[in-house]
Amino acid sequence: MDALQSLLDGFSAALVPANLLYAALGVLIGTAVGVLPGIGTSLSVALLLPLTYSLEPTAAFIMFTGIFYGGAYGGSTTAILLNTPGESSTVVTAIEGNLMAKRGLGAQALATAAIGSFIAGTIGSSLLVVSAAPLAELALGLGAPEYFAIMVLAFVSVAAVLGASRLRGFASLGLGLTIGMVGLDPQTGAQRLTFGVPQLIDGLDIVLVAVGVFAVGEALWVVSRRSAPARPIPVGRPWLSRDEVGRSWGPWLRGTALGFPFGAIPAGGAEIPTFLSYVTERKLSRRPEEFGKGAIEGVAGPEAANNSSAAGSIASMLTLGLPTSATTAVMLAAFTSYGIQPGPQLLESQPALVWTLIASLFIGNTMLLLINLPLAPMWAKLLRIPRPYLFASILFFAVLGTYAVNAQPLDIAFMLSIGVLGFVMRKFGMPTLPLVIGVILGPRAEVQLRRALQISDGDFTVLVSSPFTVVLYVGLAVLVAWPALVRALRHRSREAISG
Amino acid sequence: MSESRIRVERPSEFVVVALLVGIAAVLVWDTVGSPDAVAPQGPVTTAAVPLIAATVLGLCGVGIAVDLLRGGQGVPDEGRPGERTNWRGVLSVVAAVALCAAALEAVGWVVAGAVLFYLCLYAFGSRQPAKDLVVSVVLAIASFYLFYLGLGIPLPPGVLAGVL
Repeated sequence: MDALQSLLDGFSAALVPANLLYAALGVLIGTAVGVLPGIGTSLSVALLLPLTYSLEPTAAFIMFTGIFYGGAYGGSTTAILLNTPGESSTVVTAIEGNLMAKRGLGAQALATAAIGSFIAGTIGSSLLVVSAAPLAELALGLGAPEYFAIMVLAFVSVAAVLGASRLRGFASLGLGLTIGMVGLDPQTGAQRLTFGVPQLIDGLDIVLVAVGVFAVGEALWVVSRRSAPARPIPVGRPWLSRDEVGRSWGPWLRGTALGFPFGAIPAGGAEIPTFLSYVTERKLSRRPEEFGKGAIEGVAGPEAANNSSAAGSIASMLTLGLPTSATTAVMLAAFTSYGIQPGPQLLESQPALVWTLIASLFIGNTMLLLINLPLAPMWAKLLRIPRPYLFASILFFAVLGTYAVNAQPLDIAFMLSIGVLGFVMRKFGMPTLPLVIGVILGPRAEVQLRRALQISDGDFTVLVSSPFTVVLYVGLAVLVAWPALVRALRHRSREAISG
Repeated sequence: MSESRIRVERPSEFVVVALLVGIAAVLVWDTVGSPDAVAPQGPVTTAAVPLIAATVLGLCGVGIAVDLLRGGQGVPDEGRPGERTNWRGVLSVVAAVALCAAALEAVGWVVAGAVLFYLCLYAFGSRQPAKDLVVSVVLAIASFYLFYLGLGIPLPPGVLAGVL
């Protein structure tokens, strides 16, 4: 009941008119940016981060959760009406959602996505309420070797699981580790990769890296290809008939159940649960023939899974300080810019802030439903913005946001270089998330490794000294060896059949 | 390995190999060249993690090179790997952002931002000079006041100091 009491305190702090206004503003701006084609949640959040800089932390995070939910909802609108998923998490939504829109059921697709997201967000946030304190307590019992193991797991799983080529995933991770190293070594004060440039001594701001990789990299990638933009499908006010609600609620709940645990673990993210939800609903549907022609279950399930995995990734970001998605990676950067260090201590050192943030997740979620159901036709109009204006705006605000962080023109040049890197990576099929995770977690992993080895006086066996670390490394080995194992098993069974 | 034919699908992808190996080399050079890095300061020195990262990058570079020589290629999330690249567009955007970074403090945000927006519109294929110019100027002025009045972040006024 402690958690409930704390949550109520959080609500009383969050539910003041000014904060509600920030929540509404966040939802509006977040949706407006998220609905723009090609812009996913992480890019919206990275672009809008500077807007929250002048606010005090509580108001900033409340606005931020609004942006977060708005950006996610906007992304699914684009996926459904334009078949342009801005992010891998909405790829599955686009499959059936766009087919529904083409059949004239765009309004219903948007409605089931919005209500499904709301239900999943509410249940997911409730799971966060219940699990935050126990998770943080568990995390407090972990020492440096355990943290190092968790981070190694995050590195390897993100590099190995995402994208088509593991080699390119690890290369991306290596680039991220390198960028994260720029600046002073916190332990020894030695300069690394600063090349005598004074502006590099403090290292590269994570906002700069995120905006460079996501915004500038994406803009360069789009301008480099001459493909014609897709045409949006007009849509009316979203609504659901009784029959459609009947078909949606099962997928909503199942999607929610799939999403949360996957969101909370490092290699999980939203891709796997949304895909699993799609496959599950197709199996369970009483009308499987509708799949491939625009089945409402195929939108309801994955959208719920997507939002609930977002709640799961917030849980692990808050309690472990571990970003498991691009969006939470950017959120973590926002925390850090306020001098707040997410992790198990945060719940003890700043309980009011954490619970206000969790309360604002509920508020942002509700606000989203109230604002966006009626406004959907207006958002759909935003899809018609001509592409030059869209990407010129992205670049304009990317430059503005980067400059606003430190008022340092050289930062724009650094961001541009990272943007060019992001473009090269996109062009040659290297995933960008491992880079961002490497930049954020690299320096932390180094600190934990040092701490562990200092305590053990240089004895490397300390890294595998507890059952927890052994379990993690074994899990890691299985994860890495999995494709080879599957191949070997298939080979053997084929031989058994043929022999 | 005698049967593996050498057949590269996309030679330009060796850029990635050069980039990875090049960065690995810079890391090693930066680490070995630094006098503090080699001094022992406990089990994990300043040099340890850079050398690990350099190893990862180097191995991945070599691995990708081998993959390319065997006919593999990095498949982008969207589009086809063989698509022709609009280099003019890419270079124009890079030049526009670089120009803005260089001129920002001298001419101020309103001028630099408007030029940036206008050049980006052009790079992305917009050909309505009058309309584009008006939108660029309005957006630059609006963003200046939004940051100044709304967020309390002063942007450099530059040549328009006193006017704004």
